[in-house]
Amino acid sequence: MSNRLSSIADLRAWARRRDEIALSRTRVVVFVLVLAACLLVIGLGATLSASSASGIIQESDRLAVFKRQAQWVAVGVCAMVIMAMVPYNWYRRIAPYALGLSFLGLLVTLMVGVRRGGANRWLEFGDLTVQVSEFSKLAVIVFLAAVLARRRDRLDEASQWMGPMVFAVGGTCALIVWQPDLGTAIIVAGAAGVMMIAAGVPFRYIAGIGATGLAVIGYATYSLQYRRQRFLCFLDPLSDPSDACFQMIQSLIALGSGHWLGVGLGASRSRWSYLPNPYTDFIFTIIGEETGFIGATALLVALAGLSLVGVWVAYRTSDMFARLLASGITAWLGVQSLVNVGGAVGAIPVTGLALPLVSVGGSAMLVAMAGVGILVNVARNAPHVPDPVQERRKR
Amino acid sequence: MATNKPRRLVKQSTDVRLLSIALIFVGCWVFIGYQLYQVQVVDAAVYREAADRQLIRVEETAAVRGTIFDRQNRELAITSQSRSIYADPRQVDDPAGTASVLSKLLGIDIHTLRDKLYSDTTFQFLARQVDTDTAAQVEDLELPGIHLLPEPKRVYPYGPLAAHVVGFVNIDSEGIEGVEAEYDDLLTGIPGRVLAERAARGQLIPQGRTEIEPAVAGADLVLAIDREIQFMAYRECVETLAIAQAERCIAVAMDPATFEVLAMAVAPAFDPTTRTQDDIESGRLVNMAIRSVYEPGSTQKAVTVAAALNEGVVAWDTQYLVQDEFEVVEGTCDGEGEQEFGCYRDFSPHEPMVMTVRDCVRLSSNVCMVKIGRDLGVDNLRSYLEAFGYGQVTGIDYPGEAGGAVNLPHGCPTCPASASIGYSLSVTALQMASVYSTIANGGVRLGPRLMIGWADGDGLQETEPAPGTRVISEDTARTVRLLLKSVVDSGTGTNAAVPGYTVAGKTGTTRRFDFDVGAYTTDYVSSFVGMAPVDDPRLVIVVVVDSPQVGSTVAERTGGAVAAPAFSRIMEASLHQMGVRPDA
Repeated sequence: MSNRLSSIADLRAWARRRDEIALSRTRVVVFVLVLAACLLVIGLGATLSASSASGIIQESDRLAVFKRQAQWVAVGVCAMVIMAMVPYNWYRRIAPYALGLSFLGLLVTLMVGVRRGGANRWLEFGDLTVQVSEFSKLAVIVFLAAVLARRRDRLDEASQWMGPMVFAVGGTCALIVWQPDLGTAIIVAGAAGVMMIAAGVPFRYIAGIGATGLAVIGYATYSLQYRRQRFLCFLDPLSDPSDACFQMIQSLIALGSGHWLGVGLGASRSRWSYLPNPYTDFIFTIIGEETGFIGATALLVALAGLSLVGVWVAYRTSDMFARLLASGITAWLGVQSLVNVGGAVGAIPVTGLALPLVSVGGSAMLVAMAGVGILVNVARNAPHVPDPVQERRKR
Repeated sequence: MATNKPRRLVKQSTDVRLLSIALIFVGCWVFIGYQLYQVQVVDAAVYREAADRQLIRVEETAAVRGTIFDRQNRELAITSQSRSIYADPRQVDDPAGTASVLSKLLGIDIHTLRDKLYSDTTFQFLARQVDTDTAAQVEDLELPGIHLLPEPKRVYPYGPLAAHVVGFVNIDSEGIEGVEAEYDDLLTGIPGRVLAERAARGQLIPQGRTEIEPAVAGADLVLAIDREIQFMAYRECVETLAIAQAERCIAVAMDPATFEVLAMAVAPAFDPTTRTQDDIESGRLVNMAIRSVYEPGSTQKAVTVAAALNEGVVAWDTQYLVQDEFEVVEGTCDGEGEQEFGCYRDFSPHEPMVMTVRDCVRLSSNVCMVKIGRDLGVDNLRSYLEAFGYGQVTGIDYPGEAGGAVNLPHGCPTCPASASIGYSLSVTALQMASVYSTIANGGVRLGPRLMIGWADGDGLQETEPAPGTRVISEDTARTVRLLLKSVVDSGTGTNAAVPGYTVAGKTGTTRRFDFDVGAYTTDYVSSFVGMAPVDDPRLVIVVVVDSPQVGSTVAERTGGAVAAPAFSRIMEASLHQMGVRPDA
């Protein structure tokens, strides 16, 4: 290594490598931002169409929902920028506090939350309603990333990480299911599962935890009447067209009406009080109806693209905390998208989850954008392997 | 470097895991994409059809109901636009308050309104076809959930005038009585249809497809009724009702040349626009000229004589010896005063005298007429009654016509005698008009009718009268008219005379048979049937007065006393109206 010539050649190679990495970092960040921007634009467009009909029917401002959501997108962009700028290692430090705050919020929600449609999910501050469980998703992911990264060398000893994990994930899920909101709990558990896989937890633990999780979900599904019915509807949508299966049938009818090219932007029929929750749970259906299979597939590609770019971000870094952050956020956004769209197209039972970055919802938008911000943060700042800059420093 | 080693190992193993996660994601998205393809492309037709089933609603738009005109194109029934008030209870935010406000305005019981406003529906009529002012007031209140709906309303501008002829419609403008019912299909037209995509709660979807099939308006009817003659007939009936203190008065005017009904009035009448519960309960809605039968009595004698003349059994001057009573069944006239079946008496006692057939008609002798009937024979009598249309419906274009009855069974000794003088028979006022019109028309009977034409988009269609049948010869008809003229000139019907015109007619006074009890009552049915001018009759008029109570003796309640004056006034005014040249 003391050869000068080779040292100069090394230096050149190193410089070239450094430039390549800088370029590829920029490329990844641009990918994440472009995909997120696409989803935001599609979401706002669909919101405009989906919400205006109910505005007209209720003779209120037909743009009210759209305006509010546009404000939330603006807030979300700010959150994304902030989350992208902060050195991501800070998250490791604040993770326990964030988790504590999340627990507190969930408990308060259960005590003084606002009940809507039979579920107690919202905290009200005057005009503003906050869905704490959305923030809990991020808190659990960051906390779990910190725990698993710290114990990365001793993951085959369950005692090293099982306690904090059960506390964070199990506790959060229990409080959320209590609301009741099984869908959100499944997302938290799913993201945690993906993070365990990504962290390298031995498969015997993952299989055990997974089996337990599935058993709990199965029990929760069959313990509540409406969940059971949604599940039965999924198996046979025509079993009860009057009431319980109405949502799924309406979603399929709307999507089928769209055919290849859709009925046209702003021409959705199902939004005219046929399809329930057209701008939250079933916004994908509205997009599929208005833009057809072509448009819906484009949206699927964007959603899948975000998942893959997220995995890529995780793959590129050698820092375990950053990698777990990225895979946790990716798993959360990806699984939630799959569950939402899967429900809309009748591939899985309807859960009532929002489509991240697309559906209307203030808390969901803010937290999803924060997640995207963290993804960008990791893509920009986390060490790359092999990282010539760091390797040179070590020399 | 040593500390780095385990980290690199972990890194390499987790790389594989991350790639697996990416693969699983791709697999899931592909599966969902496949499912999406199934729904949006493969099964699209099924779902699109389901969408159309729930989206496309068909609404019928009512066709404008045709107008009913009299023969001079004066409107007897028209359709006007009015508005109805309805509520969508889901949109009403203060049902109690709304109910109390509307209760005052609409004059509807507050509890009824509250029940409607609290009901679990999306549409409740509160008041239908309200007047313009009320509708405007309700509209100005702008109550949430309270809406107005334009609705056609059937209006009868002349109120009770021709109520029994024109009939009426229900609240949905469906003809349920009279000409409105008879020609409902013609009047209704063809309702239009609007196919439109609607929201689940009924709002029109702006981007939706709509398809409109316009309604075809109903045809306009032209009736034979002449408003002026109808007015005379109705007014005189109302007058007679008061003068004679009677229960009911019926007047029918017919053009004998065509058997077109120029007037048909029943008093008491009702207003078809605003008919009441009382109208229904008292039976005022029923057209008694067509639906109710009575025994014609002496007015029937014209038919007996016409048959006898036409058969050559008698001539107008054939003489009969007439006592004041006649036993068809032996011994029935022995009882003092009490009338028994089998004994026929003249109206007032008289010495036995020789009477010509003319006198028999002029003085309305029952005894003489029974003898003529006996000479005619029961079979002849029966066949003439049938030819004149007794016991059958006339076939007039009106729903629910009564046909009357002829009671001439074999082996009944008194029945032919009774039938000769107008008992043992029942007729409607319309049938009597038809019988006398046959005599007025030179012996040819036609089918009476109310509608003479209708107009749709293709112009006026005149309906053809049915071909006539000859019942008696022209000579016989003329002779009968002359005999009937003597009744008015110097007989029982002098009150029927019309200044300036020759009039032929016959009085009739019968004991009122109570069909419910099956026995005669102490009340009378007094009638007059006649025509003018005698040589070429232009008008036949029947006036039937049911149960006159005026005066204390029968003489003040006879057809000559209560019906003939009304006949005279209607005839006089109608002849003037029709521009008939005076002939006397």
